[in-house]
Amino acid sequence: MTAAIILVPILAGIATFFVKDGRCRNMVLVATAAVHFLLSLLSLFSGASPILGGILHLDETGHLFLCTMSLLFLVSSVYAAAYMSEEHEAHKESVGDGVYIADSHGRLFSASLLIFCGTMSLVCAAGHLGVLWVGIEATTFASAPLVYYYRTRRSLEATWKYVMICSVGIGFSLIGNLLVMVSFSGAADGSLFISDLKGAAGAADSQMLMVAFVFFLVGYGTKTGLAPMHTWLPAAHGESPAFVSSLLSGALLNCAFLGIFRIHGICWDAGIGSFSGGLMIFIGLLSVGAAAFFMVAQKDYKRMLAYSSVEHMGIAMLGAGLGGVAVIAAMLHVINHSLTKGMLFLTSGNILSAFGTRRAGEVSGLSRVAPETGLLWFCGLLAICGTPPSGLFISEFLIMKEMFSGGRFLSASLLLVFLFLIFGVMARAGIEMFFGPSPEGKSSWRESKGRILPSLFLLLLTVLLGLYLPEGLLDFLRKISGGFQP
Amino acid sequence: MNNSLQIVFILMIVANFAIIASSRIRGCIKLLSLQGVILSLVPFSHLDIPHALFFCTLILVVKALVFPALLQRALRVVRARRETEPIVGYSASIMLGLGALIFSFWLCGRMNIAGRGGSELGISAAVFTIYTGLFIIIARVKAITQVVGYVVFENGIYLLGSSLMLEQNILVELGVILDLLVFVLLSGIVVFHINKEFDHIDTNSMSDDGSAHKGVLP
Amino acid sequence: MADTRTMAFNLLPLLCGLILAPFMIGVVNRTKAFFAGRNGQPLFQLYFDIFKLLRKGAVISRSTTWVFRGAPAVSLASIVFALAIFSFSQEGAALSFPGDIILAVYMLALARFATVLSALDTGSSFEGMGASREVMLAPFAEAAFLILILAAAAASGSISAATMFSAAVPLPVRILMFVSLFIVLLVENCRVPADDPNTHLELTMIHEVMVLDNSGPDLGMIFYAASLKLWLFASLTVCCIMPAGLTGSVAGDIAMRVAGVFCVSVLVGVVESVMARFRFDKVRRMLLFASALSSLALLIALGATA
Repeated sequence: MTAAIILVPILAGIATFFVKDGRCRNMVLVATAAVHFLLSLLSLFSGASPILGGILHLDETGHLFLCTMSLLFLVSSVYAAAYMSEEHEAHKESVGDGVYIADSHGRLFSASLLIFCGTMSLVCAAGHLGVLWVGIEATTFASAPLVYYYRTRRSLEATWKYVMICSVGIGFSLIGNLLVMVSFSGAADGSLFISDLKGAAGAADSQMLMVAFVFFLVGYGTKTGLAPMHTWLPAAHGESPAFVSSLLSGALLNCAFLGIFRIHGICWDAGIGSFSGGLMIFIGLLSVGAAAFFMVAQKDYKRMLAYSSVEHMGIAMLGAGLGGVAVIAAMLHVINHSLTKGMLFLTSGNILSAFGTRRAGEVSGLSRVAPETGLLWFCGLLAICGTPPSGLFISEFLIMKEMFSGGRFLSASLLLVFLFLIFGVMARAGIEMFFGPSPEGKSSWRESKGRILPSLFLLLLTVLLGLYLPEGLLDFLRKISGGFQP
Repeated sequence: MNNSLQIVFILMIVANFAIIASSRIRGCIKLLSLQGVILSLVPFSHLDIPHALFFCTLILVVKALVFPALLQRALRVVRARRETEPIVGYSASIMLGLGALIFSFWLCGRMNIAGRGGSELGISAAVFTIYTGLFIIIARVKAITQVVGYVVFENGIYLLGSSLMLEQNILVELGVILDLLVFVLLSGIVVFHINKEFDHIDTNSMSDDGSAHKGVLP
Repeated sequence: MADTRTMAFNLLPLLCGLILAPFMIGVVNRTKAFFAGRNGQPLFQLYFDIFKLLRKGAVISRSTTWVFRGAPAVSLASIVFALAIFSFSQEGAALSFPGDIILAVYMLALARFATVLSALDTGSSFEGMGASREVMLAPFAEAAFLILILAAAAASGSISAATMFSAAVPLPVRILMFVSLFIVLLVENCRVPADDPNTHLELTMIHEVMVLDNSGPDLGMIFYAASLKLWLFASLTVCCIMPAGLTGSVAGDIAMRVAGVFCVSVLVGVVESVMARFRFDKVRRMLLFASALSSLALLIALGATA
C-alpha cells in the first residue's frame, strides 16, 4: 500500500512524458490524483504497516500530512486540467505578463507535476532520516520545472533562486544528518531509523544533538520558508502558475515542516525539547514578523499570498515548539492553511487570467468582472486571516491560549500585533479588489466550472473544519501530540 | 594520525584558497577538478580497500571528470566572459578566507572532536571547505561560478562525513554524490536557459523589472 | 681546541654563502639561457661584474645627500648580519641567541629601508615610483614571512633560527613553509612572476628602478647584497625540506645545503622561463596566498603542540 502510494504517481508521471495528446495527459493527471487520494484514504483507515524494514513507515503524522497533500493535489489537478485545456483552446493567447504559452513543454510539465506528488508522498512516508532527506531533496528537483512553467525571465530567475537556495538548505540538513549519526553513535549505533532514534534518545549525546537540530532548522527551514531563509519563496510562488503555487504553498512547505517536526520529536524524547522548542518559537515569531513587515509594502497579490505562507508556517512552527496541546493546534493549523491557501492561490489564477496583471492596484471591480471569483477571493482572504468560522481561527486561538497560559506574554502580544497588521493589509487588498470600480470597458470574464468549483470546495471544507471538528480527527491529533507531553 | 592523510587535508585547504583567489572561470573549474582528485583519496582513510576503491573511482569519475567537463561545456556553449566577477575583491576574499580558516580551527578545537574519535584537522578542513563553498555562492556573480561554489560546498560535506569516522556512512556518501549529479545536471540546464534568455549568465542583473525582488541571490 | 673546531664549523655555512652567492645568480641565468636555447653568460659573470665595478669610480648626482652614499653599505651590512643569523648547521650558527630571528627580520627590513630612502633621495620620479611599489609589496611579503617564522617557532618550540628549522617540525608544516617561503623568495628577490630583473623599462620594474642612479663600487655592493639575499632565502627554503642534522655530520649538512641551494636556483630559473610577469595586483594576491599558507602552517603547528 505504502509503496503504491509513492510509486503510482511516479510511474504515471514517467508514462505521461510519452503521451503527446494534451487532453489525454490531463485525464491521466486527474485520474492518478484521484487514485492517489483513494489509496491514501484507504491506508489511513486500514492502517499501514512499516515496509522495507521500516524505511517507509506511515504513522499518524505521516498519514495526516499525506492525506492533506493528496486532497490538495487532487483539487489542484482538477483546476490544472481546466486551466490547461482552456489555454490549449486559446492557444497563444496572452496570459499574465504578456507571455505566450506554447504547449510544447506540456509533457515535461505534467510529468514533473506527478513525480512531484510522488516525492512528497515519499517525504510523508519516510521512516528513516536519510530517506526523508532524499525525499525533500527530490521535491526541489521535481518542482523546479513547475516554477519555470511560464518561461519568462522572471520565472527563470525565480527558478534559479529556488534551486540554489534550497539546495544549500538541503546541504545544511545533510550536515544535520551527519551530526545526528555522531550524537547517536553510542546509543543507536549510527542508525537513522526514526523509531530507533526515538527509542535510544535517552542515551544520545545531547550537546551534539542540539547542534544537529540547528542545522536541520536552518536546512529544512529554508524549504519551509522560515525567515530569514524565505527569500526564494515569494519569487517562486509569485512566478509559477496558480495551481503550482497552491501545491508549493499547501503541500511542499508542509513536507519540509514535517522534516523539522520529526527531528523535534526526537529532540523532545532526548530531553532537549525546551531547546528545540525555544528555537522554533523564536524562528516562528521572526517569520510572522518578517511576513507582516514585507506584506505591507507588497503590491503583487500573489507575492502577498506567498508572504502569508511564511506567516502561517511561522505560526505552525510556534505551535509545534510549544508542545502539549499546542501541537494539536499546530497540526490543525497546517491542515487549514493548506486548504485555505491552496484555494486562494487557485482563485488568484482566475484573477490573473481575467485581468492579466499581478499588481493588486490594477485589479478592481471583481464583483462585476468576475463575481464568483471575486466572492471566493474576498471570503478566502478573510478566512486566511483567521476570521471565524474559518478553521484557522480555532488553531490560532488555541496556540494563543497556550502561549498565554504558558506565561509567554511578550511573544503572545507580539504575535497579536503582527496578526492584526496582516489582517489590515489583507482586508484592504480584498476590499479594494472586490468592491472597487471596474475599469472602463472591461468586459466580464467567463468563469468556467472547472476553475470555480475546486476553490469553492476547499473553502467549504475549511469552514466546515472551523464549525465542527470530527471526534475521529481530534483523536488522531491527540495521538500525534501524545509524543509531546511536557 | 598519519602524515599522508594530513597532507591530503592540507591540500584540500590549499585548493580552497586557490579557488577563492582565481580570477578565471576556466581556472576555477580546473581547480575544482583538482579538488575532486584530492577528495578521491579520502575514502582510503576510513573504509576497507574494496569500498574505498569503489568510492575513489566514483568520486574521480563524477567530480574530477564529469562535472568539470559539464561546466566547461556550459562555459563554451554560453560563451561567458572569462572573469569570475567577484562582488568581494580577490584580496579581500583571501583575507576573509583566512578568517574563516582560523574560525574553523578554533571551532573544531572547541567542539572536542578528537575526543569523539574524529580527526581534528580533517574536520577543520571540512568546515573550511563548506565556508568556502558558501562564500563563493554569495560573493560571485556568475551562475557557473555559483555552481562551482555549490560543488565545493558538497565536497566539504563529504569530507566532514568521512572525517567524523562513522561506520555506516556509505548511504550518506552515495547521497552526496547522487545529489550533486542531479544538481549539476539541473543547474546546467538552467544556466543554458539563463544564457538564452539574457545573453549573459550574470545573476545580478537578471531582475531588470522594478517590481521584482532586488538582490537576486542571498 | 674543540672550541676552535666548533667555531670554524659554525662559520663555515656563512663563508659558503659569502663566497658562493654570486655563483648562484650565474646558475639561475644559465638555467634561463638553457630554456631560451642560448649558451648564456659564464657562471662566474657576476664575480667579474662586481670586481669591475669595485675598481671603477662612482658618479654621484649633485642633488643627493649622504643618505644616497651610505645606503648601499648599510644595506649590504644588514644583509650580511641577517645571513650570519640564518647560516646554521646542526651545531649552531655564526651568530645565535634566543630571539635572534626577530633581529634578522629587522635587518632585512633595514636593508629595504635604506634602499628605499636612497631611491627617494635622488629626487627622480622613476625611482620614487619604484620605492612606492617596493613598500607596497613589502608588508604582504613580510607578513607571510613572519607568520611562517611563527609557525616554525610554534612547531619546534624554539625562538632561535639555528634550532627553529629542525626535523622536530612535522612534515606537513614544513611542506607548507617551503611553498610559502618560495613565493616570498620570488617576490623579495624580484624574480619573474613579481618583477623582471632583466627588463629595462622603468615603468615595469620594482627593484632595478630604485638603483638606476647608483654606479661604481656602490652598484657592486648592491649586486653583491642582492645575491646574498637570494642565497639567504634559498638556504632557508632548503632548510624546510632538509632540516639541519639530517645527515648527522656537519660537513655533510653543509654540503647538502649547498647542493639544495643550487637546486632551488635551478627551480627559480625554470619558473622565470615558463611564467610571465604578473599584473601588479596579482602579485599582492600571490603574497596573500603565501600568507594563507603560512597561517595554515601556524594553525597546524599550534594544533599539533596543543
